[in-house]
Amino acid sequence: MEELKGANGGYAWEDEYQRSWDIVKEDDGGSLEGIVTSLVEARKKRFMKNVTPFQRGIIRTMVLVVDLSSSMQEKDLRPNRASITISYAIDFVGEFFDQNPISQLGIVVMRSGVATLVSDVSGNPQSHIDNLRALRKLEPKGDPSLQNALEMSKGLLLHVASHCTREVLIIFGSLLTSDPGDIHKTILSLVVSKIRVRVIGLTAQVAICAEMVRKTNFGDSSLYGVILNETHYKELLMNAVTPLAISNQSLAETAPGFSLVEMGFPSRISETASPSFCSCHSKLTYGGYVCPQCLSKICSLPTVCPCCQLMLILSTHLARSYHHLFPLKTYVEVPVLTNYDTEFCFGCQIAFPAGVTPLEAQVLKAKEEAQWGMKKHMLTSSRYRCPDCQVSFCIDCDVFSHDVLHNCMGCESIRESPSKPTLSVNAI
Amino acid sequence: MSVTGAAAYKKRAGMLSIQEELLPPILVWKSIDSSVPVPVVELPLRTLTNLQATPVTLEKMMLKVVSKGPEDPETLVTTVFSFNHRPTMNNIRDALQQIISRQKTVIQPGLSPAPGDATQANDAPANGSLGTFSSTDSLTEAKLLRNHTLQQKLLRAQPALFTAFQETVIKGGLHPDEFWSTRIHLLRTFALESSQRRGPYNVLSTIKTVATSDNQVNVSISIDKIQAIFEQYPVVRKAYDENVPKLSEGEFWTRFFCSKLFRKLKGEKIGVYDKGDLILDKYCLINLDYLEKEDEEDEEHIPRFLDLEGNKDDNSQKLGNGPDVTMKGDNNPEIVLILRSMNKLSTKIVSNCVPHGETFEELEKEKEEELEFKDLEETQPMSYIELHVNSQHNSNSSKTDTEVTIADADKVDAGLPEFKEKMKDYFTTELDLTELYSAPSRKRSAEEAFKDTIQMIKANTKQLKQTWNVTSVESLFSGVSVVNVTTDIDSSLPDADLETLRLTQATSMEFLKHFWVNFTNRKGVSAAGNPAMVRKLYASLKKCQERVESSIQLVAAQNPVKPEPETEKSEGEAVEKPVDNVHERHARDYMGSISRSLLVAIDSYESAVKKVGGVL
Ligand SMILES: [Zn+2]
Ligand SMILES: [Zn+2]
Ligand SMILES: [Zn+2]
Ligand SMILES: [Zn+2]
Repeated sequence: MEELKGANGGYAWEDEYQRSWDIVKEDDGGSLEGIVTSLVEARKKRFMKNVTPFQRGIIRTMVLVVDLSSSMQEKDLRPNRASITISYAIDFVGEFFDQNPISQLGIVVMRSGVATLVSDVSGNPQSHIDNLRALRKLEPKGDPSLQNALEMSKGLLLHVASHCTREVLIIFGSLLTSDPGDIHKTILSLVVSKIRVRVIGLTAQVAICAEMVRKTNFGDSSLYGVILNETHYKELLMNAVTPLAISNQSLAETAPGFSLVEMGFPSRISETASPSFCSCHSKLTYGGYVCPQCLSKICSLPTVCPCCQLMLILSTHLARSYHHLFPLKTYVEVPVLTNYDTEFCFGCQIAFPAGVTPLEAQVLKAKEEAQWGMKKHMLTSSRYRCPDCQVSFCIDCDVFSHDVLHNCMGCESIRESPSKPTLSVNAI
Repeated sequence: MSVTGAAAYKKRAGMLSIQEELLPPILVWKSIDSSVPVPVVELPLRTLTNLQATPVTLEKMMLKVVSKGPEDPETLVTTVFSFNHRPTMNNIRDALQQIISRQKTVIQPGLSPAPGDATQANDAPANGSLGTFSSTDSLTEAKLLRNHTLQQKLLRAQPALFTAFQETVIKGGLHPDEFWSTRIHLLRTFALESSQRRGPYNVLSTIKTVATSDNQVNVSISIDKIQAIFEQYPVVRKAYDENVPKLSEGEFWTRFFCSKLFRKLKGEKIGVYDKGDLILDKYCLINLDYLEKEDEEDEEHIPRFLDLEGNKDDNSQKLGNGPDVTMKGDNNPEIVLILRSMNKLSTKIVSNCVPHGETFEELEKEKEEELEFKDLEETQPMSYIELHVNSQHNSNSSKTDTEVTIADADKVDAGLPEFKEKMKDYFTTELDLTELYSAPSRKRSAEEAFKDTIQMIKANTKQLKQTWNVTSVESLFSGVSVVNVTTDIDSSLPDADLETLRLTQATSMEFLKHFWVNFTNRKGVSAAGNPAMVRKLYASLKKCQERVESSIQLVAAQNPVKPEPETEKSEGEAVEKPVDNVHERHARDYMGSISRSLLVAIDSYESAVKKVGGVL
């Protein structure tokens, strides 16, 4: 029960729900500037993410199931559930392929009691985005059928090679499912096919979803989330961008097997004089990439060679997928001190605020409490330190390192970095 | 409650009434004055075809009724009634209008799904025609390969795939199973899409009546929906059985959707003054429960024991909240009825979903699971497999590697002071950038480098642009519907010739695909690793090579280059030195990549055969 304790000593559910407008209370004397900057900084602070390197499947195949039943016409999200879901799904597709370039995605829609394939499983983000855009014209209608959607997802995932993950991400707005048969049997068949289901509920917890997630994820029910607000919705969706960690429980049930995946690194050619037919679209193109095995010309990477079925990627794709396996450690916030040993951010050379004596800190805190009636104190050192290289960064560089770079600027500039992972890993 | 009103016929006062409860239903006019022997006018309602009333602007109030003649349906009889009270006339006109529109209603047959419109979910997907999928393995590879009906349907639905099939299987001699084996996922997706069934749902709530401008009620209802209605509401089936030979199919449904029965079943509130339907509203009075029980074979389960303890906890009155809405004494009985009927429907839908044929043990287990307090269970802590990352290189090579880096680093460190010294001067002395252009030798090389760079940038931009364009186009033979066909790069060849080349290329690619799949044994099982198959495909590849060559020749022959005026002077010269055919050269360039692919495939097969000492 320990982990249920919240920040204020009570249980998590007793924690006060703080909205941003609750924190900021207007008063006659003070200026809001200082408080606003600290609020902005507080928002950027990362949640304590687990940064232990876990085994994850980085070659992913995912089917995104979008509910377009009548419940998606609800206007609790603006302008309505369906249109915000489509916008978020488009963002998700972009982010998914950005962070998982060697993965594939398909999109299925639940509407009028049936599941419809909207976008076939492929690694081309643009076609998915175009197909999602086309969905905007479709009016949400009828009941959703989880069973039909799951059966279709299963069908789409069945031919996926064993070294790829099989995942289903369901965005579920309804509280019911209208199924032609027994959904429990479908869930069991998903377990057998090693398909993992993740659900984002827009309304409330639904028992069947909880059961589905628990059973397909070896007892892990954390992959079922119900949104609190629009920000939380986005957060839950973006969590699905990170590949799923493989649990010990799953290892106990399935035989551990590591297979080598054959991949080709094609070379680029340019034909300046005359175009030739590409093998993927049978279109005349100038140049492209050439498969090292069968010499056929391909338009874009990553892809599976349309001729010899070899997986073709660029080394940068592999590198980009790797950061999930070696997450960058969370920077530690330096406590408020009288004197600091750093004056400038290592990344952008911005000046850090000067030190504050304990007395001054006390006064500031008291002032904050009196003026704003705040329980949490906003006073920070604005320094975030890498636990490995001990270099301090400002909050923006911290966010940039973790969200974009996936590398520490401090560690990378040290010649013999202590924790720099190499590509020779025991298990991938 | 038949509609009546005072109306004059041939200047004689009388009463006009619509008598729907009679068989056949009629429109009757009777004279008030029974002493005068005026014949009664009777018009069967089914013969009415048209209706005309004088507009409000006119003082005269007349209603013209057009009906088919009693003997010959071809001749139309017009009967005119005059009124002296407009509301009376309107009332009768409306009633008659409704009757006429009923006769015009036609049932729409089950709408067939629009092919190719993938995003449009059908209201009534074809049911069972391809064998509905049971949740498990009916979609295995073997079964899909055997399902020729499914394959034919898919080919018909996707013309591009059909072309591929025609070229490679019918003309090229590829085994159909081989063709389909690389397209299992297409078959599976198609089977899934076309064989989906819908779960039970509240049919009536999905039916929306639309009133059109001419006061007609338009309802479109599909056969599936009618079946679903019968299944969910036995009372409607009973009404249908009893009335339909008398009423036409369309009339029955129009009446039904206007009736109080419909609104009651749908769970809507019925006002006292709502118009209903004479024939069907009497079914409202039938005890629905009784009818349903008649339908079900097994009786309702009546518990013999009451769980008092359970009752104690379940007592809603004790909880401070008001009792359940269905239990309130002062509640409007109408609402309670509606709630009951909704609950009944829910129960019915749910009970349909209960899987049949489960064993006793399974049912027991399910009940036990229901009793568990899942919410209060401790969540099982998840643990994941950690990756053990070597902070250094592989144990074997790590030492030397590190040594090397250290040695290198030392070298760099040693050179650092020297480098720093140099850099000091670098910034203090002035740089002369014009020096680049002053020396002619350097100038030329600089210009050349510039030209190269520009060219490279141009080529890269072109390539990048086309990549963007082409990625949104789905492959020709993949069978996926083409979303956005971008045009080819401008070609000097006519479109028809370009298409010839494209088809040859795509067909060769298909054979190459099968060759590599079998040659590299990527499929694992099935026909893969079958030397005979590979040999056959090798022969096909050889043929592809010929086809590529012949299509190039064909294009060249169809686009002869006009001999240039200079060469025309001496005929002999022109024959000796063949004209450089631009089109042939282009065609050859276009097919360049496929020719290379064919060559490398043939080479690798030949060398593999030689390696094992086989004979080609
Ligand atoms: Zn292409
Ligand atoms: Zn290849
Ligand atoms: Zn910074
Ligand atoms: Zn660092």
